[in-house]
Amino acid sequence: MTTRSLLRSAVFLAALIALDQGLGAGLGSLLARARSGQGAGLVQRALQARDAGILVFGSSRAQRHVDPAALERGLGLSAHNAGCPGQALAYARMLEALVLARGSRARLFVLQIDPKHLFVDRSARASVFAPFYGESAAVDQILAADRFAALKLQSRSYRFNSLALGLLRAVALPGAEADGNGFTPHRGRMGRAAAGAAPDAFAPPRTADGRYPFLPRMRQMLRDFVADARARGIDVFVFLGPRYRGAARTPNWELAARAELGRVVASAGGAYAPVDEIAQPELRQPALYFNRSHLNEQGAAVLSALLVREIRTAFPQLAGN
Amino acid sequence: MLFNSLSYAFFLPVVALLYASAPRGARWALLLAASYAFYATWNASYLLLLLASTALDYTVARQLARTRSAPARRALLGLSIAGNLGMLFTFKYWGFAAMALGQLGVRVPRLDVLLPVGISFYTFQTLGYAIDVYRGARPERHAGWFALYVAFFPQLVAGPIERAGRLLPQLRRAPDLEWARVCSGLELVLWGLFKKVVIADRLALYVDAVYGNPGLQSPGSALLATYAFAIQIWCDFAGYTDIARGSARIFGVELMENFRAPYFARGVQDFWRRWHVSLSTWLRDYLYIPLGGSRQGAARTARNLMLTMLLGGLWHGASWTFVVWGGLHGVFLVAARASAPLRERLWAASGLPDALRAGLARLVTFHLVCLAWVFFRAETLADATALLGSLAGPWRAPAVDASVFAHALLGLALLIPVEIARERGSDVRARLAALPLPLRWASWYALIFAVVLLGVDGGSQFIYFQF
Repeated sequence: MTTRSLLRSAVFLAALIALDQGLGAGLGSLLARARSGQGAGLVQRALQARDAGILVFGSSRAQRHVDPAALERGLGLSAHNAGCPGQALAYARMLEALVLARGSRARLFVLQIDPKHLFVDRSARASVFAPFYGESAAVDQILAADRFAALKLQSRSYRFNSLALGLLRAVALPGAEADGNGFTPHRGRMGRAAAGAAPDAFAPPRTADGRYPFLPRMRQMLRDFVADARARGIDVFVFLGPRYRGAARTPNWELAARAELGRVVASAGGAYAPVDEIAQPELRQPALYFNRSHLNEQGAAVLSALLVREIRTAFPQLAGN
Repeated sequence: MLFNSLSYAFFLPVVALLYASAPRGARWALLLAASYAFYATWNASYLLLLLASTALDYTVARQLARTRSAPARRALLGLSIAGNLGMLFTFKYWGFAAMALGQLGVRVPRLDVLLPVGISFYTFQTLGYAIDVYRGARPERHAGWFALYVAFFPQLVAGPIERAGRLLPQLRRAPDLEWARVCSGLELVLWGLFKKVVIADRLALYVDAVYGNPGLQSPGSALLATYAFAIQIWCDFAGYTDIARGSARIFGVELMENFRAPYFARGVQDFWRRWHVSLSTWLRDYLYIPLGGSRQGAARTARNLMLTMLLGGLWHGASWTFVVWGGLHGVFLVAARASAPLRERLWAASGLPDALRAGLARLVTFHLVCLAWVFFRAETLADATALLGSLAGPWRAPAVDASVFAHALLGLALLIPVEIARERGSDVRARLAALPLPLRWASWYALIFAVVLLGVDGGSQFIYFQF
């Protein structure tokens, strides 16, 4: 190994770092133009709409169930639905942190939560926030879960891992959601096969005394979501959405989670209500469903109206603004 | 420690730097210590098994060299076979045997043990060494070099299964690090990583989803998952092998090539000359030929082929799915031998050009291999038949995640031309090395950023690590 070889390696590495920075910057400018697609485009669209009076956070069961137009009519505030399919609490928490870091004039954050998401850590799915690394301590903390993750995130191009193609597509061929309010309802009704499909067999671990404790990390994330918004004077309403269960009973762990959620949200200063098929019998009709997990357009209208009613009850001062 | 992890990205250069600064006489010790440390990152207690296998075959080989009596030599070889296969049986097949016997009403106690990573590879390697010495090869006298031959970290957990006659002389040379060789090794590592994380791991997202619910798939999804798995397992294992070969090359060791464009094979026999070559040649030399090979008539040849392929299937895992996979390949090989004269006559009579004949042969071979892969990938025989049953349903287009296939196809767009060029005899690496430096660097940068931007992050395990 000669000095020449070592010098050549140094030049190679220096050029690699420069290229990494340049490529990351180029992809960053693409990101700034993206408004659609689950590869960070939806995040960008939500950030653009951060000054809406009401921001809705959650998974596909927020995106497809909550109609911002209904919230606007019922509560007199502009609204945007920032739900994203396949995502869970970590996504909502990181999006909220970015919204708050960039400054928001929102009055209310509505968070749809799935009880399962408090027992399973799906933070890895929220890597769509990697391009925003460095903008918010909360985002950085979730992304850099271990020392290697923190190291990898020093690469600017790595932050666009698995996102680059989606961004190119979002910029070249923007989806219909690019200009909408984020609400994308399912159209059509649940078929007999879907209605009869086996329910999710998931069951979290149970303690000896019969409790189902949330994952500490998820519990903290939920508390932080509520507490950070409250610290900036933004009200938080957390709700559980409905599922079609047919003749099946709600599992015990879900019943336990319904109650525990209320305690966690209240302790951080938020309001909570289950707007599900247990609390609202009208949400048990199969005609309102697209599949066992998702309402259809008609069901979304019913749920959105119920949400307005619950929010007005929880925050009477919001109504009429 | 996975090859596709950041830990390995630190481990490899640190070992290389220590190797470069160590005196030549101490390099074996350094590489051995690094190999044991590498293995211990999975399960330190299983190092004892590795040491036991090493000690057994070192001792047996030394005794074989000193022993003239044929019965004593056979007994020594028997000891090696019993020791290695006993270890393999206990840790890999006990549970399977207990379950199979349980179904016949025979109760056998279960052993709750984890499968030691790489056990199938290193036991076959040491067993092959003992057989070679029994057949007259000179045994290694230096226990340290022999231990390194068994444990050399680039090929320890998933091969290639190297012969002592090839690997030991290279390890003993312990050459200095050479700049061109280091670059060539890193290039191969990068190419392997590309195959693994850009293509194999991406397709795995789709394949895993389909095989997770094999009975609920449309024919289109089942078919697409079958093709996708064929590409996935090739890129996964060939990617692993490239990383192993590249890592070894840094230390001046050329491991054998394990894959030679397998899906260009013109028959199943040809496929086995191109797929997992170190295993297929091991099975040929230490099982098929000792059984009699093809020298004792058609019926015995068919029996030997079936036995070899069934055991080859079982080598992959303790499950009926692997037995069926091996059995299918055995049937294909037997049928190919039996039908060869008829096919020759039909081809001759058809008057079709050779190129068309070669293309059709490749197409048929690929689909036969794909059919067998269904059993290899499925968790159970019921899952495999459910997936094959899905293929027979009324046609519905596959449910496709466009992002998965866009990423994988981009990777394949680079891989396939390279494989075609190699199949035509072009040395792509040599052509790359002949390029001016800026172009060479540009190709490396392109590959690095393809891995960074298009690869699946998360360090998923290589499929063959479970064997």
